[in-house]
Amino acid sequence: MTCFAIQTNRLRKVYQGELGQKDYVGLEGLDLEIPAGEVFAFLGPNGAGKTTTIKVLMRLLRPSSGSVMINGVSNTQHQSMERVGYLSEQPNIYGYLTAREFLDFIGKLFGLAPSVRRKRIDGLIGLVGLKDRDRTLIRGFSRGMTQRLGMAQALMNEPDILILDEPLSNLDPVGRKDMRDIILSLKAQKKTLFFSSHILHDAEIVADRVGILDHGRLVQTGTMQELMGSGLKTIEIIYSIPEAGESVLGLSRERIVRQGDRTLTWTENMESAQEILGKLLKNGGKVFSVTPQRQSLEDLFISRIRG
Amino acid sequence: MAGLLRKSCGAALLAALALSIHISQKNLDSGRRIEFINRSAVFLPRGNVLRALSMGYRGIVADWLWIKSVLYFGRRVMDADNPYYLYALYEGDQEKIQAAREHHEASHKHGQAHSAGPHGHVHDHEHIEREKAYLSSLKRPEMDRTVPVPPDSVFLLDENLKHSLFRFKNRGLIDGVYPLLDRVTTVDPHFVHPYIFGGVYAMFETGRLQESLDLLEKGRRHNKDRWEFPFYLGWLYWMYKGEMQKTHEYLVEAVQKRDCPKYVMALMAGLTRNMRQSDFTRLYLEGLLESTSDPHVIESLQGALEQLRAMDSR
Amino acid sequence: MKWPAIASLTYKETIRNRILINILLFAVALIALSLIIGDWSLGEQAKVIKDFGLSAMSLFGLLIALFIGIRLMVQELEQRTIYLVASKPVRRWEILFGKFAGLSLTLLLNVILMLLALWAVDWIIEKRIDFELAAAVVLIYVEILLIVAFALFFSSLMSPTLAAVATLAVFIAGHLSPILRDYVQLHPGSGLKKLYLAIYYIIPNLENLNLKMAVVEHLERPPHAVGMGILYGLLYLSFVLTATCMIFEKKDLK
Repeated sequence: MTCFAIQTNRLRKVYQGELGQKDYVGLEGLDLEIPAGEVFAFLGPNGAGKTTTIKVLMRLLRPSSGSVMINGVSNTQHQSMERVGYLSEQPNIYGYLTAREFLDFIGKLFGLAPSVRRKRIDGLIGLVGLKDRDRTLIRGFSRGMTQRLGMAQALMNEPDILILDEPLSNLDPVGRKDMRDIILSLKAQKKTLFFSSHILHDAEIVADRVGILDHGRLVQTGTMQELMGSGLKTIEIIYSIPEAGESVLGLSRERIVRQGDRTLTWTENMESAQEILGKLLKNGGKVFSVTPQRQSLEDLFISRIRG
Repeated sequence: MAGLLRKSCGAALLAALALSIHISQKNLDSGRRIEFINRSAVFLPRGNVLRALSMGYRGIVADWLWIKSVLYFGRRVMDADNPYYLYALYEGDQEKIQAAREHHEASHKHGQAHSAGPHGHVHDHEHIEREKAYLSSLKRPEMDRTVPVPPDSVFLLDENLKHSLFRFKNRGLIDGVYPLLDRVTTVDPHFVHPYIFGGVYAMFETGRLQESLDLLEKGRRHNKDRWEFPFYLGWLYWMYKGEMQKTHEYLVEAVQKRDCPKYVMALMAGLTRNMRQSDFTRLYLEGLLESTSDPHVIESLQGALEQLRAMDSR
Repeated sequence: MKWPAIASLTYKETIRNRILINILLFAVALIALSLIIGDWSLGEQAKVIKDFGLSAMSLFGLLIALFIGIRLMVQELEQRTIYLVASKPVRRWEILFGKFAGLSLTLLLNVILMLLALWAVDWIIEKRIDFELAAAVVLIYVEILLIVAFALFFSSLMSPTLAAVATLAVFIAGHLSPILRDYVQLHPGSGLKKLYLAIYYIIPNLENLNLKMAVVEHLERPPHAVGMGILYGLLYLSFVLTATCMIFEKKDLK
């Protein structure tokens, strides 16, 4: 029997309604199988059940029915968390501690020896770039710094599996880049990565496979290839060319959009695009950009959820 | 399966703990020395301090003190050290009384070592003995029943009447109830019942005339519209001090209050007409009987009325 | 065993919460007040100081137990700091017990500091140290712990405000409940005797843990009052904590 890094079986979560309110189904029959070493992006709009799924995986919520196996061990056992790193959505960390103290505490929770803790803390503080703030109280940290510290604590036990809830949201551009770099380096280390996002672009860059969740149900899973095919729709070219040269290109009127001295045109395949580019350069035209337009995950997402 | 096992383990643990809690509470209760708790009640701060401390909750604090007073009083009366209590409990069965006393002494042997202080049992026993001697030393004077009698002898109309109305049973035993009642009535001066309790029932039991008079006077000062206070004060001055003039003044005052019952008027009239001692006493007793709902007081008064009737038919 | 890590974290949290500074302020205020009160209460200065000190200790302890006890878990949930803790290989009860143990440690330090302050004042006034006070203080400490346990219990079931009310109600009922026993003793024929006794045995009898008066007045104590009181308090504490752990074990950390 193959052993998945993360496996869920008919996972169902019903939130008990408060007095007089209806019960609310958060998850319905979720089956997930994530093999070791895979980067899995868990996508869906807000309220689809992504965070619920992750909290059930992390033992924070009890499933109403169904089961979760982590590396083949049921997650009702607290030991199943030994090899898992977890970063919650917009983590909050005790403000009265310093980054070092917090990481040390997390190390204790993983049962690490003091010498191991010290060594790892030094490494992680460097990795997430908190070197000069590691002895100040977390209370004064920015959102991005807290997120980075959250990432550090998720790596404290050198996990095989990382479960990250919206790791790239709510960050400034620099923060996003740093975080993405860390994720990519984890991918390079062949860690199993399971992360949720409502920003599809994140998944496109990093994920091997995506799952799309809507209203607590898994709508579709697949590799990026499977979901999008080759996915090439059009190629857009922006250029400028002297008035006289325009006719040489032989483009139909409907395919020309002019804005000042710049012109936009598009074509469906590579061959005709190359042909257009050749003519442009020969007739003294300038090319500003050539952009292949793929079917984006966004389009797929919308079509999936609407359909 | 594992979940069920854990749940039942938890339930079993809780049950075991609940049982141990119960057992330890029983143990604590059995080892409790009544004096210990009682005395602590007397060491409350003064009434005006309590009054300040109780802030907006004076009513509740007064109620609480009142309940404490009653329980304190009752417990002193029911203290196993009190021979009268054992007598009443076992309805005079000497064997049972002896057995109870031995059991009590055995169970408190350990405690005796501690109680060498001035507040231990020895003190109480001495009091009882002294009380008994006092009661037997009282002589029954010859007297003319139509003439007003001198102070201190009215209640000696008859030995049995005296016993019914002025039992002395716990005189000296109950040294804490008046301070407690004083505190109750300071915290809430308009709480009427504690005054009456102290002025009449506690008076029957303890014979603390001055404390009773003080308490009723305090009630009268704070509750100018109540007829009960002058009425009871008049009773005390008539029955236990024999001061007719004072009694008359109080009754005149009582009659002028709102809601004053008719029999008070009759009493006043009887006093001025120089009514027969026993008739006047009966009238007063009937009035008292009507104005109280305390079962202990009713019992005492009914006993006394019976005695009066027996005397008259003699 | 991971709970010591959580306990030391909670200890750090509560210490850095500036509670101890408040306590020290209290101690200083006590000393200052004792000098003033000394002038008022002719000859009874030592008694007043001890009454004052023990009552304040119990009251301050109660307030700290109540408010911090309730915030202990609620804050973790509200600020979502618990996510990064409960997702670690830790048993749920260890989190709860660790929290409890950490606060207990802070409270212990707090009680010890106050007792030392009280003894210091006692030394100034009586030129001797009344070691009997320690007996009352131990029981005060047990009572405080019991209140913390109740605060945790109620806050795991209801909103913080309701939990505070419920905990306070337990405190008050716990000090009044002996009245039920006394009543039954006086009226053995009462029809509701069984009900009264049942209520009496269910409500924690906090008077078992109250030796303040007895110690100050040097009254005789029932045999084993201190030992049995501690035992009773700890048993009740274990009961409440176990129940709370069982609730917390199943709780969704939303």
